[in-house]
Amino acid sequence: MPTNDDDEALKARRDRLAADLKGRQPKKQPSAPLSPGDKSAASAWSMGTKAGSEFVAAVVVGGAIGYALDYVAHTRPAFTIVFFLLGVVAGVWNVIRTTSPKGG
Amino acid sequence: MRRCNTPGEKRGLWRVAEPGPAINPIEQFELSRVLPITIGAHHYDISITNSAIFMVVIAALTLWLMSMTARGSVGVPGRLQSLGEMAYEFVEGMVRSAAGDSGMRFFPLVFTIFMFIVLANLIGFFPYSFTVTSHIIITVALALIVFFTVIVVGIKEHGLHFFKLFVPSGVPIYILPLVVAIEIISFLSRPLSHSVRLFANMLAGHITLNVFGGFVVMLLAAAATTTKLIAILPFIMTIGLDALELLVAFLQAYVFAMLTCMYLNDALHPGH
Repeated sequence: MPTNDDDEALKARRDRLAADLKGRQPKKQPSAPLSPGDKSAASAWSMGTKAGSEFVAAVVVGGAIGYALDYVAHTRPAFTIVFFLLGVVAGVWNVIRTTSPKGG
Repeated sequence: MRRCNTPGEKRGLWRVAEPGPAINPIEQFELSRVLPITIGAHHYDISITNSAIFMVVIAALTLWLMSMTARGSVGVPGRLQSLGEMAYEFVEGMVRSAAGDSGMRFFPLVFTIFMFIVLANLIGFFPYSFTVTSHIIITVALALIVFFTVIVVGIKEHGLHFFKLFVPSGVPIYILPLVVAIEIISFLSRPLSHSVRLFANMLAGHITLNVFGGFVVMLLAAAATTTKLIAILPFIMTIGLDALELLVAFLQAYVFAMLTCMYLNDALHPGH
């Protein structure tokens, strides 16, 4: 059973962690140092094409590696399936990396 | 970019059966031998094509612009000089922010790539010109230059330590093989996404422009006046798309150069 002391300690710990988190978050830059075309539409477009192509590219490369391994080892479709799925994971990972703020 | 095609050509993809100009949106990307050259016993084709000519034009334009900038004898820069300085400072800011000060030794590479792509994209706007970057072989070549530069520089600078790029720190040992495999796939997918993005944007944009421009031509070729009047609609659309394409042309050059910087940053600082 949690006692009063535990609650207090938990609260203090939470506050400390929240403050810590706040300090670690990257500060929002007041304005990007470059890109004159950096209206929101422009950066959204570049972000969109980046994220989309990186996802597809990873899936394609994963599938291709799998297919090549199968071709060499005559194990079709084992490697194709595994590497296709790995490609999907890598694609999602690419998108997360692209879209998450820098330093995160 | 060609808006229409002379009638009676044999390509039949988008042929219009009606009298009037035939529209073929793909025709603008066709390579043609301007100066046929073959070498060797196997007759390797190294002809000067329209693509090659436009690449030379791009290189010459860059050289001309930068030499006009570098003359620098004028206290107050003229238009050309400010354009050149703007381009320089733009790329410099990009390299410094993405790859740090040590990344500045790759400035020549990034600047060359950026100027090449941005001029290729912009030259493509002129009617009857040729958009070099709408050919995947060109963008793949550029992306592979970056890819191999990253690998060579990374290994030269850091030796085997470079491969820590694939081994993120703080991952439990039992899922490490999985993570490494994913990181390697992610790394290998870079040249693909890098090249396909630029190529696809330019190809799709120019086809769209051509299709809408073709609508105008087709409607104007019609006999009835009311049909001719409808041509205003695709014409307005073409103007809007042109503006969008101008944005895309610049943006894709920026994105390509920006990602080049980020990849080079990995070569310089593979630790994270």
